[in-house]
Amino acid sequence: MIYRGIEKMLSYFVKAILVVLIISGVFGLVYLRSSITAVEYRIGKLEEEKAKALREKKSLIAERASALSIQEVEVRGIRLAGLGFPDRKNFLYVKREGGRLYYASVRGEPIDEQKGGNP
Amino acid sequence: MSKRAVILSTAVVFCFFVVIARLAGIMLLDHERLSKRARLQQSLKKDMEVARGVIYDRKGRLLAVNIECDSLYCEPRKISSPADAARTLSLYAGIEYADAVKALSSDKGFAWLKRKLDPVAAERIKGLEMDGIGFRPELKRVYPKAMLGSHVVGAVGVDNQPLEAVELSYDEELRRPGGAVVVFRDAGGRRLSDGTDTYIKGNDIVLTIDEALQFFVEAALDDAVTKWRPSHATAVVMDPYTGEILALVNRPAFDPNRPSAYAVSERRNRAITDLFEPGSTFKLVMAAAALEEGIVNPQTRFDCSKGSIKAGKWVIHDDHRQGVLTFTEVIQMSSNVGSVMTGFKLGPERLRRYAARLGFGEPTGIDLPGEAKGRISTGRSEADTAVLSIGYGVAVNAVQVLRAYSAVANGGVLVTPHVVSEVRTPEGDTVFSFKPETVRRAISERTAGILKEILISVTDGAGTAPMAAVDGNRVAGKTGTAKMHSPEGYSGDKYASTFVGFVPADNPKLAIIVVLYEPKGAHYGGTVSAPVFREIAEKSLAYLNVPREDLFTFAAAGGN
Repeated sequence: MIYRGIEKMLSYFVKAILVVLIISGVFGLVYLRSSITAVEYRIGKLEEEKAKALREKKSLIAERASALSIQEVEVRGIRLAGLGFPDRKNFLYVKREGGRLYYASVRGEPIDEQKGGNP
Repeated sequence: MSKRAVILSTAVVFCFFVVIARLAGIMLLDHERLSKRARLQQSLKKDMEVARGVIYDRKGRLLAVNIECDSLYCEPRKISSPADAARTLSLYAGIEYADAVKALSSDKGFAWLKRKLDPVAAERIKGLEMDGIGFRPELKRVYPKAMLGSHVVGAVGVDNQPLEAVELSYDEELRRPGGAVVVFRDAGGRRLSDGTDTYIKGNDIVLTIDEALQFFVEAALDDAVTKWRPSHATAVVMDPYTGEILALVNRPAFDPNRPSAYAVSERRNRAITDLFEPGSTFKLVMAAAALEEGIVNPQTRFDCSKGSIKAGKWVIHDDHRQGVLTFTEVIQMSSNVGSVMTGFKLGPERLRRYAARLGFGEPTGIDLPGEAKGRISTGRSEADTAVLSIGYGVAVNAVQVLRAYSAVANGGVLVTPHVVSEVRTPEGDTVFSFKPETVRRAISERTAGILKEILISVTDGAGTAPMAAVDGNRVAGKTGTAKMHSPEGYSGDKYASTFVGFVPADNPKLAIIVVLYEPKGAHYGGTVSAPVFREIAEKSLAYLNVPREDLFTFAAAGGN
């Protein structure tokens, strides 16, 4: 008698669990599906933001490339700031020959170490 | 159980049965049709947006990029007052009023008003929230350096279709096939993203052009154009060993950001499409052939004292009467008489053979569209031989001439000029990398060495081009002053003035050609084009940090 009573109780218990599991499974699925949809919305929104940022980035890259062009260097650096492109007349070349140091200046003014020259 | 309860239960069961039957009908019998309909409502097939690859110069500076722009469209059926809308749009977007009215009044469902609008104008129109007016994002090709290098970089049209230069010749690399993706949307039309990319990017291209060198060449040529007012002009700088084009400039030029605003003639890459008779620069062929065949040596003497020579029905003159000249002096002074004498010794067949060996009459293989291969005359008469010896009866493009002189610079080898050094995937993997290729040996190393010394003499005080001499480095080169040919015959006052050479002559880094067509005020290549060569060479050598050769050297300890 006692055994049957326990068996009956267990049977009810299992049934209740099964019902709960089925219901929670169904709700779980619905929840999961809605979560996926919510995530898809969020991704969509983020992608829109990303697209906006990328759009801005592309424009800025083009602007930067234009600002860094050598034509701009010519206008701003040379015409406005008075700078100049390197002139080979003002270059100092240092040449090593035969294991000894030889110094040379294209200005025809040799750098002399003894006079404090600093090649 | 009461009768009412039975009826109620039966009704409930029946209702459930009806619902279940309907559900079964929907899910089992009509499933395919309905799911197809749902898919159509929820999904949208979207064309993959194809972004053209980026174009860089040899040092990674941007020459062509893409930006996103809004294109303005209208749905005419939704517009109540086309005239009012047209007035507003012409004010804000700069559209012609008549064009706007026409588009807004049409009976179509959709019409473009203005493609790739200025961002400021787009924002202002968006703020007006006009009915029936919408925006569609589109990619716009932007060339941040504007006209700089436009004949190399090229341009695209409003639909990003390639029009010119690298944009055209490397279109398949720059624009990979797009295809389509399916995106999902909700009932409100909002996109449900699964993270799939809806755009694809083409391969990037690295050019051999150097933006700084290109700028120097453009500036020098612009100065010459201002001074000599030629009808058009060309300058090209090349690495004589690898064939890499470091700068290529034509005048007139165009702004690739607005290609439709320019005539086709301004967009043409004259350095490779336009043929001209090279005149004295072609004496290189005669000299190379004569030296290679052992007909002359640098000291062989020619009596040019008559100042002219008869060749069939023609009499060919020297610009200035010369005396007895060595072969070196024939080239140095650019004597037509001495050149024709040598040409007669060679004969037409050998002249033509060496012209072909030096790459004339065939395309150089440069990776730009529209190259004209040129022509070498096939005449066998004395007159034909004579004119060929001095650079007439032959049609060449500027890059062909430069390639022939590069062969002398590099020891006798013909190289393939090219403007693209590398093609990369957007991820940075190399798809293609140009490896210098030798087309063939055109002349022996020994002949190239002798020619180099002869060409150096052209730029010293006694030659025709002292104005090409560069402070600190020896220059080898040759002038050319050729009468221009038209259907009416040779012009008496229209010349193609050329200087082509390489520097430093002993260890060449740059081969440069400058051609000015129909200059006004002077026409000699040594006067018009040689100074442009010097200007380009001096700035370029400084930029490339090529040392001067006239170093003042002395010993540090106990200096000499």
